[in-house]
Amino acid sequence: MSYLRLDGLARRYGETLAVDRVTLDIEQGEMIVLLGPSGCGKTTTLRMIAGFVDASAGRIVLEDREIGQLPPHRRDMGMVFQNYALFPHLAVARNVAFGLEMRTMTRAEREARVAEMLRLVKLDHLAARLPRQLSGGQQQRVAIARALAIHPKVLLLDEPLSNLDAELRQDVAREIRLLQRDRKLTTIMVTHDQQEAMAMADRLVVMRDGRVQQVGRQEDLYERPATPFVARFIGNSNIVSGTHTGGRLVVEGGSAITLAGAYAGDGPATLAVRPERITLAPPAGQAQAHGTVLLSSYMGAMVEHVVALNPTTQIIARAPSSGPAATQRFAEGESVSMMWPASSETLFDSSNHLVPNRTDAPRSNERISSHA
Amino acid sequence: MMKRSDTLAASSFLGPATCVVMLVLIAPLVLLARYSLNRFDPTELMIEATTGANYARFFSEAFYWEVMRTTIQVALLVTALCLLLGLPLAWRLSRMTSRWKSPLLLLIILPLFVSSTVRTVGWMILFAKSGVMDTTAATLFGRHIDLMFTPTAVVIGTLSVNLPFMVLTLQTVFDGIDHRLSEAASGLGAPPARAFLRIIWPLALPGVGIAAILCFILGMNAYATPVLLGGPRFQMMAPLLFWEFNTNSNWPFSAALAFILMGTTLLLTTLANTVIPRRYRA
Amino acid sequence: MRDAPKSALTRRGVLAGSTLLAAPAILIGAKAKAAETFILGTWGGDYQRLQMENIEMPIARAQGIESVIDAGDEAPRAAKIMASRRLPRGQMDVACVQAVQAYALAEAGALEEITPAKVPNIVHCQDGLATATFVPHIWSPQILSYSPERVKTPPTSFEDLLDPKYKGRVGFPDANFFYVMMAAGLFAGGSASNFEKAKEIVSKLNTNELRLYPSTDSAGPPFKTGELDVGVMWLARIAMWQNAGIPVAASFPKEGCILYVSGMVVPKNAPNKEAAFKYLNAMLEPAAQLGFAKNMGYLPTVTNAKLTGKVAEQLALPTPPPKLVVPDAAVNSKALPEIADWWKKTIQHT
Repeated sequence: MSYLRLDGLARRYGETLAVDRVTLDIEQGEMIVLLGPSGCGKTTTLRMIAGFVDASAGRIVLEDREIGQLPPHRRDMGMVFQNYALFPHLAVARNVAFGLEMRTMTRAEREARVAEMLRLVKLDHLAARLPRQLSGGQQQRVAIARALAIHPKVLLLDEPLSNLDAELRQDVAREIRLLQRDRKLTTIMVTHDQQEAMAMADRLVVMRDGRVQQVGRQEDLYERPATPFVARFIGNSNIVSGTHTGGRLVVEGGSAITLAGAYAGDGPATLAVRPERITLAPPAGQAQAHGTVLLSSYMGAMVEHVVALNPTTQIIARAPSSGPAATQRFAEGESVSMMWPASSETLFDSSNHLVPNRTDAPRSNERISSHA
Repeated sequence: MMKRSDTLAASSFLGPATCVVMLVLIAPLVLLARYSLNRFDPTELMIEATTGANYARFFSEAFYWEVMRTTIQVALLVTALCLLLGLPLAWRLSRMTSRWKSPLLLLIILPLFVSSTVRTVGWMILFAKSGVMDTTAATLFGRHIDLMFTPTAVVIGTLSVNLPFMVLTLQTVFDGIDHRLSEAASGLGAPPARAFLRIIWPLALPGVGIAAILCFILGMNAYATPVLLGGPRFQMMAPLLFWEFNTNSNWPFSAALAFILMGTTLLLTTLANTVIPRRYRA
Repeated sequence: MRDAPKSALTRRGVLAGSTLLAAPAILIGAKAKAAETFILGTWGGDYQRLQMENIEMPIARAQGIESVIDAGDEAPRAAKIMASRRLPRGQMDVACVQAVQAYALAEAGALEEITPAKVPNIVHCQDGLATATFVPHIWSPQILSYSPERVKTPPTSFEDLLDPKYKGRVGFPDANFFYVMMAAGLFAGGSASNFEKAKEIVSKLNTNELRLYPSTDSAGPPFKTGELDVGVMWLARIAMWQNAGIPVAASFPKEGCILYVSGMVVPKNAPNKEAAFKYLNAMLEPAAQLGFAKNMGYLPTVTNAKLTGKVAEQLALPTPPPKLVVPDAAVNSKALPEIADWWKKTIQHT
């Protein structure tokens, strides 16, 4: 059995389901990131794990022990709040010591632990300061030290980077990731920023409207999104809806896209294609789609073309501006053909379920099924 | 240059308010201070003078000391009871998220819409001999309770007048404390009571001090309640002041009493403020 | 000191002390110039309402005058007249005051003299009530009140209140203390002004567990609830309480009754004396006087108003007529501060 298991966890507020039957297995030492737009239920899930919100249904099992009924102070979770929630009247060292003071521990042990934690976050020189005398980044490190001091079973991070300056974020993200890996901290982090999530997670959990959309490694989510929402949310995708018939997708406006893979079942369908997987070429017979360049933008590392299939349907293609994969640039108004490999396209049926590519090898099985 | 014109604009905004405050607050106080130095005469009412006799009269007679002591005792007791009753109420209200919060708050504010004198008359009906409480006690326990014109009645009456102010002030104080601090404390292993004592209480203390001082000042200046529920034999400062002003027309002495009451209240609240540890102070 | 027709307990009384507050009344007066207005300083509450119903609406308005009310307690009202007495233009045309207060104001030279030429009806005033500057409006004798249910032998003298059988069952409104002191002096020293004797007697009364009430209104119901057996009260109040269903009766002390006399004065610097005189004359009309007797239980101050029916019975003086004592305003106004202080420290504070 896994280290931490969420089993059908749900939270209802009146008529609305904030969290809808979330099931998740987390291994010891793993870094899990709950990702989704605001209101998707990720924070509520985190707060249920911490014990600040009671679950309406479901179980939380930690090391084979059900902890869902325990009050927060008996769960041994180390929580880092979005606004840090440092105790404003206590000096940095006293903040870090707080959790230890709630435990039986000699004074010497406690002081040693506090010193160790402050060294760990490189704040030993500021031990006597009050939180308001620290910068945002320093405050956040105090919050992490305070959470880690109690040697928590799980570290919970609620949007840990959102209150930091943009230039600081990437550094802190790396620091947290290194710290987590070095100390093998089982960590659950919540964020709405997919780049942050991609950079830090072992596995990601994409949530929307209280439901888990997909659980997987970065590559899984990127290459094989389980729903159009994931395709759009993780990296950007071209999402084109139309009617699937005979290996072609007829889109609004009448144009047809020739699908690279082979799929069963005709009818309404949605296609997702990554812009950076599309190759543009001068008009040719064998291509997925044909169109006219509407915009051509040089963006430094990338060149972006917006191609109009017809007046209502556009597809974006991106390619490196230099190197072996560099694209040829097309002028606005030029006709082009678009090509992409079958492995880069995903087709969803009318209920947004993935339609398997029959030519493709069976995909590695997802460990977690999200919804019924 | 810019800065100076800003200052000018700011002061032009503040000007009218300052004038109003000067006119309605400072001017009467100055006038009152002047009166307190005059001499009283039964026929002339007030004779211009510069004498400390009115103050000396207060401090040289044990009677007045005793009235002041009673006043301070009532104010302190009411403040203590207000804290005792108000703290749990305000804490619950502040942490409440249900739809009952607004109606409950309204219930607490509601008494403030009725003048405290009218509320005191309500207590009179409850306390009076053969009143509601007396009759109920006699029927249920076969014993009469006569609270009218007792210090207990004054304390209960004043408590009911001051409690809404206490609860509303404390609720604002608790609302101002991030509830994530309680969560952080409990997440770190602190049971609710310890989390409250170690984290919330020290942070609330300056606000609680202000609420207590507000309550104490209201108690020190209570007029209608001691008169109506305490009766003529119960002596507190505000009724004494009114007696000197209204029955004796002794404006100089009542002016002096006003300043002595104000000064004592100020002194005690300042004293209380120094008792609160420096780092917790607002 | 006052049988305040209005409770003396509002903070407004304090505020009204500021002479500044009369200013709005003047402004209002200037606005409503259709009828000729004058400023009437009076108590609020019932007294003011009855003035409107019995004097102003039926009589004064017909004569083209209309009052602007400046309501408040007596002491601030008197203080206001005192404070502005040297100004050319005063802030009040008619002031309702008790006889004692009127005396103090007259002594200070603040009051206009009233002659039959100015107020013709004063010729009807009962002897001994009016002075050169004071027109009496209502009066009532101070009597001994008792519960006819529990007191089989009515008290006949102030002395009876000292009887140990009334321990804790004797009381009156605290505000009446000065009149009670006069009654005690009259009994023990033969004079309403014998305050030294009065102090002895009242101290004894206090040890008989004297009950004091914060307002006149609150001194009535205790006769119904059984808290009080005997007390000291105005005859007028006894009639009012009886009408309100309180079982209480009046007994005239054999040593005599102190009279409560309340009336009106016109300050020397009143801005509209003509209207003031008209108003005083209207106030003395028999119809207006009978209205006050009927509604408040006060006796008419004019001889040409005859009570009839139930009111006449309730307010009837016994035969032979009791000794009625008009307080000596000259002595009283000097003695008041000292007696008030003594009362506060010795009687209220035990």
